[in-house]
Amino acid sequence: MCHYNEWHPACSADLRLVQTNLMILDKLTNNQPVRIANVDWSCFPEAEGRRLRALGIDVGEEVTIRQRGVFFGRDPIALEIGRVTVAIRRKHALAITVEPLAPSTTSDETP
Amino acid sequence: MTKQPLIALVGNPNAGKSALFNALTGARQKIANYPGVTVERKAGRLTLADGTSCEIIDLPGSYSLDPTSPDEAVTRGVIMGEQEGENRPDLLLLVLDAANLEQHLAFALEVLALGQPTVIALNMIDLAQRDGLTLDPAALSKALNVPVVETVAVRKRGLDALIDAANAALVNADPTKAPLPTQLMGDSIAARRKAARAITRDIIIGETAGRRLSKQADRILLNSFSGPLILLGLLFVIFQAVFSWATPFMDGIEASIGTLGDGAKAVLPEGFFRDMLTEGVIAGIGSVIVFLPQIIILFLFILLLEASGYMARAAFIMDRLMASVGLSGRSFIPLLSSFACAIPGIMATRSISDAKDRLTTILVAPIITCSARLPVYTVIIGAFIPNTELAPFVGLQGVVLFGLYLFGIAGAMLVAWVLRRSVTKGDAAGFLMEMPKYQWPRPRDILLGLWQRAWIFLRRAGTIIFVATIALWLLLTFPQKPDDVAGTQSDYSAAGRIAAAIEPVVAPIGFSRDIALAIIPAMAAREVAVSALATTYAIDAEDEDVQAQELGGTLAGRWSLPTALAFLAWFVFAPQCISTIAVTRRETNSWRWPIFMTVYLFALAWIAAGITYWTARAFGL
Repeated sequence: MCHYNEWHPACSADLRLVQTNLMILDKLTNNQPVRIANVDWSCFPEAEGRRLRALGIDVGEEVTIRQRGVFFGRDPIALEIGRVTVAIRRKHALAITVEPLAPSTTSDETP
Repeated sequence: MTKQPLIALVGNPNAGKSALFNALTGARQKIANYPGVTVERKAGRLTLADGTSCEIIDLPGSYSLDPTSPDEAVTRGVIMGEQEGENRPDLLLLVLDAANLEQHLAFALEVLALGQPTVIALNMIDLAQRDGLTLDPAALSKALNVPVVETVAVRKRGLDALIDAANAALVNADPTKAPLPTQLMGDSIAARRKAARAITRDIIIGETAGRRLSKQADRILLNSFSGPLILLGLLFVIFQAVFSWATPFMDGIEASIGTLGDGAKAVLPEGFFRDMLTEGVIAGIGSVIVFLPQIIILFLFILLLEASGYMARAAFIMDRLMASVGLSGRSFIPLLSSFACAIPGIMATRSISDAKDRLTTILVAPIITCSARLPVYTVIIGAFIPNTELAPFVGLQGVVLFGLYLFGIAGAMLVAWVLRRSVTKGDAAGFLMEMPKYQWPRPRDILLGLWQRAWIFLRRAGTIIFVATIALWLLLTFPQKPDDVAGTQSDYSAAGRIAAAIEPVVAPIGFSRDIALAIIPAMAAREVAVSALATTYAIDAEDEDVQAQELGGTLAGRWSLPTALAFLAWFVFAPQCISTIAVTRRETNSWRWPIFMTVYLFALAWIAAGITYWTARAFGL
């Protein structure tokens, strides 16, 4: 099982995709809306993958990182999916490939 | 008589199911466990408009019928009619959060596909409106082919309409009717989510940005800098409140117990019964009841944090720290509850989906300083630690107490770290948790929760502690010491002889026979140690006035400082609580883990007390 797909060749197949605008979810800055392009399910035990899907983390879903870490840490991540916020770990974010979207017009930045 | 219909409340976590359940059933709830598993079964009674009396149960919140935790397995089992000890429900009340339809509909579609009679409660419709959503419930009802009722459980809005719809659905239940258009019966999560999204789009009539209070709050409360500071401040306030707010109430209870004892002494004729009542029952139980105010205050905060939705944020902030010992933020909630009592703490581990994480949390929960240790700590600190002021508002006694709490936390973390690398070795599980919307806690729900907790504590005082105290009093009183034999009554008694037998084991760590005598009955519950010491010294006391209230003074005269410190260190670890061991047996479904827990905690207690004693002696204290 892989924890960090940067270091684990078995889990980084999606990185070789030619589509250049794809990014690893973990590399995103806060408040950048993205669409999930691929999830490497082999990175987690089967039940954990099911939990991720049940919480709405799946290919095609639009997500935004809202907060991350405590003090200078990178873990955990508060991910917004629709109207829900879900806490995930960095190891999940490292297995998710995303495609950036233009900032949405219904962003909460507008009062 | 025909069988009374069974209605089951089903829904995602955070759909407001429990609030709806409370609103429908009021305080008349029965809480038990499903047989063979450790999942709570909450049941109540509901009378329909036509006079039918129904049983209504609140199933654990689930994301899917494909279970990933024991809780979800029960929800699935009951809905499918496969759960032992439960009939298949005659009607499902599917609770959806109106503001979060897309996600909740995905699970709803899975449940509806089963074709059971179902009524949908479109709950928290007010919060959806606050979020700027305008919904069309009729369109939802049409799309899903089931009745839909708008509700606001916490304000009791829509309840009558919901009960009427349930009534109609029960009366007209037709099992042959296909309730769900087949194109909506997705065969995978992805397909159901797609269908859910399409339905949601159709029934949202209007959507404005709204106020999104939760998001604004999270920007501060989940922020990587302000978040931890706020949590730390909050924890500080909670512990301050537990100690300072409770004092006047505790003084009041103490005074009434004193009056009660004096009254009993004045009214009753001298003799065996009067002694048992005043020395055993009143002195013993009184010394425990005193801690009710602290327990209520601690639980008040825990219930408020849970009801407001902040607890999940606390788990988020603590996740990094918990990960460093191999646990996750989810373990923080059970461990925080363990400051009140390890039993609700261990029960709260049910929400941890990873089996090894859960077992580790159960095994370390008893090390967290529970409220039952407070009587022990307070009495010993009061008797041996001078009340010197180290700085304005910072007293030495408070610092020692705080130190004991920190010792408990550090001990629990260290043990978790060791267990995660030995007994419960395995891959660290992830941390996946939904952050619920913030809500104002409803006073009625909080009071109901407080009442349930206070009642459990009082019942414990009235049963386990009552029996242990009386048994100890009898063992201490008999056989009666003849006047021509030297020594004290407690040494001569049956209890004294038992204590003499185990004294060699605890003598190296500085424990006298009196202490050995106190820690045996304290197996029943830690606070019994205090009442046991009170009873022992009350029996030995020549002067009738020496009672529990003056226990501190008596101890200071009889124990050395190293012994007192060792006694405190002992109680940081000692697993002296039959209920905790019993609940561990139930939650782990084996004797292996409770026995392991008891043995390792006693070993740690002995070592900690020993090190404390030897060090204190070496420093000439």
